[in-house]
Amino acid sequence: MGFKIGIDVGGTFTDLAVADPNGKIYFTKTLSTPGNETDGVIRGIGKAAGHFGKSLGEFLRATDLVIHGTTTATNIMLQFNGAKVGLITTKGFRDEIEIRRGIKESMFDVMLEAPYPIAPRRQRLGVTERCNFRGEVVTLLDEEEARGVVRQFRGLGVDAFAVCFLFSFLNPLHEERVGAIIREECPGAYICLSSQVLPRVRDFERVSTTAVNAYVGPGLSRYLGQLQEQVQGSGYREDLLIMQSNGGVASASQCAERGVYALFSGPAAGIAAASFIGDLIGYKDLITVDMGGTSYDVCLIKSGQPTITTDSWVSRYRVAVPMIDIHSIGAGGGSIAWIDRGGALRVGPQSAGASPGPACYGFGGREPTVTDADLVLGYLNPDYFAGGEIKLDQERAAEALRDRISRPLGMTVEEAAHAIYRVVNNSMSNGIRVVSVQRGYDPRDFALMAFGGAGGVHAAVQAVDLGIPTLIIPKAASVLCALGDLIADAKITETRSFISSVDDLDLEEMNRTVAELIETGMKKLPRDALRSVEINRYVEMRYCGEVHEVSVPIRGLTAHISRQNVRATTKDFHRLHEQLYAYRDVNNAVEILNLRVDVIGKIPRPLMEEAAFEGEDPSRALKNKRPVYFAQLGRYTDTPVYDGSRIRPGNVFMGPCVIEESFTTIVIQPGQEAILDRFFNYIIEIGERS
Amino acid sequence: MISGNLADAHRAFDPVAVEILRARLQSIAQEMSVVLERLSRSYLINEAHHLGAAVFDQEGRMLAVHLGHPSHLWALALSVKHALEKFSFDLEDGDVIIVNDPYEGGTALPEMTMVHVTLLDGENFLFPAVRVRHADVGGGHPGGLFPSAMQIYQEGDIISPVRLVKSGALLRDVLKRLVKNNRTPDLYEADLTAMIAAGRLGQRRIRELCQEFGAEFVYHAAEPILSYAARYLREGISRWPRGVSEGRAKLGGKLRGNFEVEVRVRLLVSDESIIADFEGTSSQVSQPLNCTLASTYAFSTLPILAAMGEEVPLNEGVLEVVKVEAPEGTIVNPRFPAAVSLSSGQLCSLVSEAVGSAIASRTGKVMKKVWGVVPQVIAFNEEGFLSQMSLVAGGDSASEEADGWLSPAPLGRQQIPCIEQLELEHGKRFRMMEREIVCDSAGPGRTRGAPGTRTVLRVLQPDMELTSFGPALQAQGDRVELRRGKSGDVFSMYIEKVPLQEGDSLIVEKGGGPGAGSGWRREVSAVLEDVKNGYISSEAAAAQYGVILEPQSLLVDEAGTARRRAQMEAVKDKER
Repeated sequence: MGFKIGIDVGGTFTDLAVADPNGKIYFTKTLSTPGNETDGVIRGIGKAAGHFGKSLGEFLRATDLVIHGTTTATNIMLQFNGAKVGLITTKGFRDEIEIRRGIKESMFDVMLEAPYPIAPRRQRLGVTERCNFRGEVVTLLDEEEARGVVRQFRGLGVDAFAVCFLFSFLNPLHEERVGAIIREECPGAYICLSSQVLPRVRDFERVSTTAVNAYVGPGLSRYLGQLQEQVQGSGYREDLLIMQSNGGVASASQCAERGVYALFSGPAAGIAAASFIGDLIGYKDLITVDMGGTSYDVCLIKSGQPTITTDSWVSRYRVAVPMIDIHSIGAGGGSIAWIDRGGALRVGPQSAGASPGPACYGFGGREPTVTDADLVLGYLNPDYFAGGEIKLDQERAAEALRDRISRPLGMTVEEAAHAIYRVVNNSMSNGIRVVSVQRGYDPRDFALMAFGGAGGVHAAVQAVDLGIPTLIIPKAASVLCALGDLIADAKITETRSFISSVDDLDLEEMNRTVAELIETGMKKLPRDALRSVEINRYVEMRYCGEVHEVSVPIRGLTAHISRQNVRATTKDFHRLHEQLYAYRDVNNAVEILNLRVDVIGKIPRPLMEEAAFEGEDPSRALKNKRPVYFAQLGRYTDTPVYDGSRIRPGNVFMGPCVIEESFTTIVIQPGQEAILDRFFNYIIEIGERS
Repeated sequence: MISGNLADAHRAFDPVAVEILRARLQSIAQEMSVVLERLSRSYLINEAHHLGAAVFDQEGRMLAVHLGHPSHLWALALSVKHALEKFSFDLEDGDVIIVNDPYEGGTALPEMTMVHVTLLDGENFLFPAVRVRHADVGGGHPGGLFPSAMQIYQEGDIISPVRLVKSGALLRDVLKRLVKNNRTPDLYEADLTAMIAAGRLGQRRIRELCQEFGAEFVYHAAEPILSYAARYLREGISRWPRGVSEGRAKLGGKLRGNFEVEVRVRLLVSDESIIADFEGTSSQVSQPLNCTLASTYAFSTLPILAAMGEEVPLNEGVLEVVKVEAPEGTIVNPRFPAAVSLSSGQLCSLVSEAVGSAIASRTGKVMKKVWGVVPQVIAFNEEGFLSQMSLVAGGDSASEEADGWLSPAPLGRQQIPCIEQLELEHGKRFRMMEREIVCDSAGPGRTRGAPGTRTVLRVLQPDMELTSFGPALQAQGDRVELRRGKSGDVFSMYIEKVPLQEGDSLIVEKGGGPGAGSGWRREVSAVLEDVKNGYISSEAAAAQYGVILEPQSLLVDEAGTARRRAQMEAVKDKER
């Protein structure tokens, strides 16, 4: 056994989690190097090597696995600096990606502008061909015309081709033929066929996903190639593995082909880590919240499995591959507080970001933010924020609050700070309601796990709001994504349309399709992950006439799916439908739309360090006291502040108190009780709602 | 250090708590909308989002609303009031009342409101209501759209407020009676069930809210929530010059007989309110174009909300500021039993256009179109097959800052049909041959309008009839045409119940939106991009934008362009 390295690149920091040959995990952070992520990654690995007393080369030669969460694909979609895409469609339908079914994101905002065109119209051309709704060819592919289109695109300098024909999910032959023509005409070009990227019904969803894949693919591929070359050049002998949005890892080469799966790679890793930790300490049902500078990401994990969705949008493009369902709201530490025209106090979604940042950063920010409010309320330590990297200026925070909020509303600065705290907490609680209550789950049956830099300041309030009995904050909260890279299994998701009513289902055909999906998935698994493989099969069903599907795990332990299995699965469908939409009708005909298979290759997990309890008394870790505001007490209270680095497992804390980890602050509310468990997680018992 | 009342504020009645409650009510309305979308079986609701959901206070005032289609905005509020009035002193917890009467707060017969009565300790309490457009409502023409109707009786089943659920128990006799009067009974019943399910969810959420905040607090929060919206809107219009301005919009064409109507509005902006006075508007007509009060209210409100340039908190407080005066007997407030079924796609846009132009002359800014006339096309047969083909993209106008883009209705959440889904369902009957942008359809300007689109369907099976009437109303650039595959005959404009034959082609075009400013002021590079992208031709670049391009290379002829643009400017000056 050698080292395993998990690397997560974020906007500000590059985080590393390294499992040593004994399975003990070491965490470290370096500043990210935007524009050239590779440098920061190599520097981080070098830093970790130093920790183990090795040179970079020695360290990488002794490393079995490097797993990476990357923001490259996400950033390409945020900055729109992707490939020059040439989109080939069925003749007469080249504008579907611009017509986009007429969807407009904000109903009453007439001034909302068109989305950025990732495939402008001159890079979209139709080719004569057509299949009907049964997949039968009704118009033959005009190969010469297709060749002409490819050449025209070559002339325009297109470097990524996306091909999306109507009903290609039923019959991919025409797309495959055009793929071959592209390879002949433009050897080396990046080619995406919709029948491979997303072989599912719905043309807009498919064309958009395929175009995004083509748009992010070449850039991602270049970055991963470069990184792989660098780590391999320095002594690493294995394949680089990449975290994907489905919550599992894949090889860099596989990932480069399916760029859409690399979107949200970082956040997915955090959720993988959360479910791992939850599993370890006996909480399989979790709601996770990740609070960063600009956003608050919420996810629900049921029985150790994060919810999966195919409804995602990325920078106003539809990406319909199955990915972890992360509900994101614009509420983070940098979210700006403002007063609207009706005189109501609002927080976000505008964010001061990292630059100019909250007023208290002193980087020129004048707008009051959540971080400023948290500082005024005493939750944050002005001298110890982000590991001491940033000094917080209380005067500037108070000034921004006074100018923008407290004077206009006629309240004190402290009242304004607390009002901001309440408003943002409410948005967060509503965000949690969306993934739980609104999807038929009772949050009281879950534990809340908070991570990200700012999660620990607010999470106890959400737990109280929603009646969640237990709050978990890992000591590693600020580097959780890197941990997730380290522990995630390999996972390939394959999906295909399979349209049939449940009543006259061709079971053999269904079994054949599932077997094909499994076989394709197996081929894509990294070879290290083939030792222990688990297969999860899902069927997406709906009542006849509905247009949205519910994804239902196929019941049954045998490889062959029987009638009996289908009946049990259909029963589950009725139950899930009622849970999600408060309605079921067992007499109604049910139809199947898609099949999905997750092929999971188990990767041996590092052992988490487990320490013995060392007594309840935390006084050794007591740093000092400072006045902190608690609503329940109605005033500022001189509150004990503990130094996280000196806290030992078994230490117990009675609220109110504040725990300062180097990159995270945890606020324990009055009446709550916290303990650091054997795996270095703070477990906070939430009292009754007061 | 901190005053005592902050602590009290946490428990007692305070502005932050009210804002928190408002956000919760809004999310309840939204959640009900989602349930409607998910459970409904008909395209108009589950994809075109022709729906609305709202939460009302104990007195029947709308506190929060979530819309998929603006037509439901005030129809929800007004029809709920009618329903409550009819049943006052006779309501029990768990009663559900349904109403579609356009003359009792409604718009057109397929659009129905369902009120979910909620009592607490025997008293009216906060309650939900939902509203959708059903696929059919009986009457003389499928889909509740009857171009030659003269009275509302011909347009379908008129439902004055009636109890469908009593104390939580479905009244099957009433349900049967409703469903019996419908061409698509299964669909109708499923969608009524969806409405009941959505309302019940809303009731459950309201109860949870009471547990959390206390019923007393929730009960008393209505007033501040309403006044917040009013204050918001007043603050917005405080930047507009006070005074009176006028707006007009005309529509003429042929349905059963020619018609020519005009909507006139005088807009009076004061510190307290905006009054839209429709004095002088045409009298009601015998064609089904008449626009009931709920529609007139909604489509007068839209341009005002749009002119705010941001999301305005929507609740009945808005009506404290926006006042509508519509003389009875006009097309914007017809007398029973005038026919109304075509108003929403046609006449309503005139109301918005007239009010929009009055706002523009008040504020001096280009007013984007908020609602467009749509070519309405519907295919059907006697076996209950019914397909709306009205939804096509295009028509968005330019603003001063940006070009228009493709969305079917600027203020809606309609989704146009997914081609594959459509063909999976109806692929034996027809196949889509084309759905693309039409070159040179965008209105020119310094910023240009959105391009229009063309949709072509080929008929594969001769068992349908077709009705279309949008373009009969002469909307700019819109076109519906039925080309006989065999004879080559062409039907266009107003088509009613024409049997379709195998091989026929149906062509539906939505015209482009208008541009803003003069074409010759548009950046040359932007014009060149448009030519390269095929939005406009080289000829149009020269004629409308004064940009001269070399035919093959598409290089800009700088000198030629300068000359042509100078000429265009001179002509413009002369016009002044």
